[in-house]
Amino acid sequence: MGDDAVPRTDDELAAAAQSGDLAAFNELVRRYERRVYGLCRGMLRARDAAEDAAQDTMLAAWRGLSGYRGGNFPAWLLRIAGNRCRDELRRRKRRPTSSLDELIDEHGDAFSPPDDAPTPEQRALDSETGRALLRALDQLPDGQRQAVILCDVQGMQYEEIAQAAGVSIGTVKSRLSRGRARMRQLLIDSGELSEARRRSALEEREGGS
Amino acid sequence: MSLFGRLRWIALRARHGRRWERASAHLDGMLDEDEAAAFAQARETDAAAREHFEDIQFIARGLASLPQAEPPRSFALSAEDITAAEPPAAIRQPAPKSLRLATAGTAAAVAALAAVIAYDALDTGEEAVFYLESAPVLQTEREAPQATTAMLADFEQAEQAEQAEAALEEPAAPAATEEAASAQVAADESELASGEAEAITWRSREEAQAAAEQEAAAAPAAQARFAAQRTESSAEQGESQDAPAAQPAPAEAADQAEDAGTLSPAVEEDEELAPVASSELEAALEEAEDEGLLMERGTEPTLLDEPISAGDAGWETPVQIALAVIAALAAAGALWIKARSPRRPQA
Repeated sequence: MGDDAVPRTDDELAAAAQSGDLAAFNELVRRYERRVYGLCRGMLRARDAAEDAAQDTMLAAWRGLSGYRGGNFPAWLLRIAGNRCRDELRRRKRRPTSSLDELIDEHGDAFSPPDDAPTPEQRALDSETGRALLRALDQLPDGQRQAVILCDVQGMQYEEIAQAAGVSIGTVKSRLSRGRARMRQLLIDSGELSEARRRSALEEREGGS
Repeated sequence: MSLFGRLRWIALRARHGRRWERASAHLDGMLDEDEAAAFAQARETDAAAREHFEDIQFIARGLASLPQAEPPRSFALSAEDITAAEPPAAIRQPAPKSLRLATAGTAAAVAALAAVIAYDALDTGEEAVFYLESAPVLQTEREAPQATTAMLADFEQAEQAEQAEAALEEPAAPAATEEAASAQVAADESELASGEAEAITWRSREEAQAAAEQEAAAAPAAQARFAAQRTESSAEQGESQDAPAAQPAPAEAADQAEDAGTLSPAVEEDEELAPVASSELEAALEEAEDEGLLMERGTEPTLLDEPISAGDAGWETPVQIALAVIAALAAAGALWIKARSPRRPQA
């Protein structure tokens, strides 16, 4: 088996990229671009803005490779992406933009549950429930929204989230608990939580029977 | 969220924040065994805690079931991407007009100020030379109350001794002796003042200007006082020696000494600066003393602080103003051209 067949670790690829190896860097990009784009999409909603933010993240990572000291490369990359997203959100606050409903309607297909992997939750989460969740997620403060996306959507551990967000684990724990509780309160106030849970329970019973 | 909703949220967070954190951490498996057991027991006994946990569990699962957004394209970088994105802009766009105007105006103001200061610094050098040249005279008058007072007694004693000797030797010519003695005293004072003037060449221009003004006001008075003291002393001695009652005035004595070729140039300057009547000089001296322009006797020499007026700085000089305007226009023009010219594209 040749050396090409042995997958190189993130730090090996990063070290090669630091010496100017663009192919090694692009290998890292391919490994984590989905997570980067997912975070940008969850934070920014709009597809074009998320795409621009993801591309800017990769360029910024290439320029800032000398600042990478090893460790968790995806967390380092997601930290850059988070900063880009916060910059874009601050810019949006200074300039009015489209409403959330317009953005969701425009790009709602990307958040629809896939048909090829139905789960009880996915069956319960029809389009209306998914929109309600995203609407509640979008009302969270930036830090809480980032933590909820990285944990609940991308399944990252607390330590990785702390590195990606540049905060302590205690802060991650606090942001997650507050974010989830706030989403719950928003869904309760809108009456969507009980309806979604009712539909979910019904789907579970139907699936069990 | 409405204001009421925010207030209620804050109250809920303050009341249940700790329980929410435990529930969230339990959902992610971040509680240790003891904490997990305690939370499980609380969930059985507390319906609100149980409901909260089930709700956030539903939300978390719902979010996790959302499909990951697929990137519309690959974000791998090409060599062109890196080259194009190196410095943000290969060709710099001209700055906004307002920024260019503000920059040019600021630069013009700074340049004008620098030009005026530079010219004023050059002008300071010229005035300093003038001050040094005129320092002996000014310093003689400035230090007159102090320097002559300390020496006056010595001179008077010497004069008395000389006059006494002259009276014994030539009793018929006391006036000529007195005139010669006065001329010698004036010459000695001038030499002393010259030495003192050299010792104060370190003074700055401003101090020199202020001192010059003060001394110009006090000089005639100081000279008059000194001349009056000499006259009184000579008169007293003349009376004691039965000398002629009419003593010549100091100016007349100086003229006579000048005719005889015994008067030094310093005495000539002294006499030129004291053409005022004695009464007026005395009044000027008192006024100067009242205003603190003269140093008190017996004190160490100190610099007299006097603010310099705007006219002293030379701002009104037309040449300076013209230079400042030219410098400002040149700086503004240079900045304007620089702001409009594009930067050379980088490789």
